[in-house]
Amino acid sequence: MPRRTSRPVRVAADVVGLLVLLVCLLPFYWMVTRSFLPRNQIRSPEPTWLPLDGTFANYDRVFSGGTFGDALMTSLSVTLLTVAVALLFAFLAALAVSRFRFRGRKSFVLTLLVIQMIPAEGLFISQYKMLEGMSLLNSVLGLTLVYVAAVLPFTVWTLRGFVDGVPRELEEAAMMDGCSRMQAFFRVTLPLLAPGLVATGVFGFIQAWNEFTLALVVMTDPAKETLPVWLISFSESRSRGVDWGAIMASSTLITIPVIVFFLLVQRRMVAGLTAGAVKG
Amino acid sequence: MSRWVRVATQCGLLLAWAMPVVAALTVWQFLFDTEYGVVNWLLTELGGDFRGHSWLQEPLSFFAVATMVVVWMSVPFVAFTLYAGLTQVPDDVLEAAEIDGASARQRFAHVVLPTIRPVLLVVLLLQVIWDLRVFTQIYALQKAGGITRDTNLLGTYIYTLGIKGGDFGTAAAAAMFMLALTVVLTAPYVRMMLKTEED
Repeated sequence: MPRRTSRPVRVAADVVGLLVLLVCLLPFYWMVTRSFLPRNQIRSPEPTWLPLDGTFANYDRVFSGGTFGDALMTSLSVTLLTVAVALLFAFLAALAVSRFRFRGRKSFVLTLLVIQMIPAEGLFISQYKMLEGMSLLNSVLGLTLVYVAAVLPFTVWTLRGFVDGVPRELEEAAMMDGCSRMQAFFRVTLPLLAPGLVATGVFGFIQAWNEFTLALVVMTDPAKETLPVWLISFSESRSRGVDWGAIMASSTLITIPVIVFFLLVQRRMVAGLTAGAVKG
Repeated sequence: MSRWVRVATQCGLLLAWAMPVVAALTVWQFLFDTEYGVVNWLLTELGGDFRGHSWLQEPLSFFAVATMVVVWMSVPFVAFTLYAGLTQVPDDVLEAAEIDGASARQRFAHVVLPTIRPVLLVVLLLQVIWDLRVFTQIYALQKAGGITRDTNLLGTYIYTLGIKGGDFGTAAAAAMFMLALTVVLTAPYVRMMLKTEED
């Protein structure tokens, strides 16, 4: 909402924003700076705030194993596929729930809600058995399938709120002008949902990107592990103590794709698209 | 808010959200470390004597730190979803309300709040469900120096009983209790939702 605000209010908002930023960033900053420090400086009585004499040795150790790239590829394909599939299905489902009245609609909505209350840990065994039966263990497709199932309830539920916010009259106007119902949905409603799609897309991306337990269960082949699983096995594979520097370095690397994804979609999160679209 | 502050804050929130959980928990342990912790160092520099102070020993300060970590990890999700919801508030309606003489508070209560209500409610519901069974953060902090017996929450209690103690029956019973608690806590919301579905 780009609204005219008075100067003191804006300055106050800026200050609060910067404070939030500071608290959010401190752990992240600490991770990145630690990733450039030699082992004896990572934990020391006098904390190092700026790694001026930093080293890339930690990053070298991350890449020297040779498996980081494989894990990165697996993670990228699973995550992007999850986001794409989940958003498409969620968009259609949200439309159905929000725009149509049909039998079983209420129970569908209730199911979406109840599913979120089931602890994910309770589903592992059946999910594993199911994928095994479909010979989808250790496959990008199989993991994507369970991830889509995991993020879909939230995505549908949230998008439904956004669809409710788009005036039905816009679709009706489009249909009067000769659009079919599907065209009205995809050409009129879809673009107006951009903020909701970005929010749920980022949610799905981070969920799939950072998920650990399911990936551990489903991807039993070490060549197929995703980045979070790789990170754990990497941190446990060192024989002499834990290599914090390399863990921080790889964690920093793992964070980068999320930032790239966000920067790509962030511009779509603009407001006021519907403003003035419907004349009263 | 100025544009650059908005984008910077968004990026900061995103970075906090995107950090791998392992790294996030490790860094928080570093920050509150008894010997080498930054927080202790900072407070000592500021004049207090916090050298060797253990934040995780006392249940109260343990939970303060745990709350901070949990909040830090969930704020980005809530902020992003609500922000997306706020972009849906129609500008012209706000303007109309302003012209009709609504104060800022009235505009918020009668225009903004009803618009973001569905999003707000679902975020609230999810946070209740997720925070009730918070496990990883507590577990990591307990390993970093907390006293398990004094600082168990439902999630870690079930884990201690079942996985560590081998008493799966009691653990399952505790899990059922947790489920019942979730249902009770979320019941008002579910009722409200069913009512709005009627029309």
